[in-house]
Amino acid sequence: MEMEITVLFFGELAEVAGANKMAVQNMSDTHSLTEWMEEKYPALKNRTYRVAVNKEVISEKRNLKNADEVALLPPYAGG
Amino acid sequence: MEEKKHKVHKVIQQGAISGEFIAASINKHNSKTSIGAHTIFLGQVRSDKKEDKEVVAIDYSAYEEMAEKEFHAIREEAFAKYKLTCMHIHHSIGLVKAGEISLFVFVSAVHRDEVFTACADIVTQIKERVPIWGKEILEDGTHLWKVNNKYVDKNG
Repeated sequence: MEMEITVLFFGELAEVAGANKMAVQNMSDTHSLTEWMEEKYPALKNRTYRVAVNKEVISEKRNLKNADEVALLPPYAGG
Repeated sequence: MEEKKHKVHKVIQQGAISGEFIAASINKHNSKTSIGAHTIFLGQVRSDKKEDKEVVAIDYSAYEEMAEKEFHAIREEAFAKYKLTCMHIHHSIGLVKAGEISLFVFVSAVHRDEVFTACADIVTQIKERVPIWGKEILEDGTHLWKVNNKYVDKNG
């Protein structure tokens, strides 16, 4: 079945990707997504970032389903 | 006072936090006479030297929905952990010039011991958990990305 997720880029990563937001089709899990992203934007490989799925930071690979929102979060700098 | 559920307060606001806003916030507590101690933390944009250039402002951005969710969680956890009467957090988004305030944490309780510990803890939690970024604008118009001192990459 067709599935589409939204990928959000923040801070410096939005500059690396040249966008804040992107629709990505048929991506089974977060690991294949970041691999695909790092191939598309090689500069990502040298960046530190966390991955959030539906506004929750994940520490292990997560399977993705239709309409999920994945965010790539560079180091926080609040305060 | 009866214990009540805490409402979700919007923390993020556009631009710098003014002295007038802070003063008004203090004055609002005049009627809460069970309070015996307040602590206030103010985060101010610092004019660091980066690559021999001065930081003139920070342009803050956030993953707003997640940031508000984290702010709320930090607030609820603090109420569970410490005996607080009330607590307010305000954080800027957008451009804040050097010398202006971008973070305002206001913690109130019956006695002072709780508020000192709670306020320090809350500020640390904010820096570690809330998805906010700061673009440091340098005097020549170029920029760098601010990194908090104690950032730990949880992905290893």
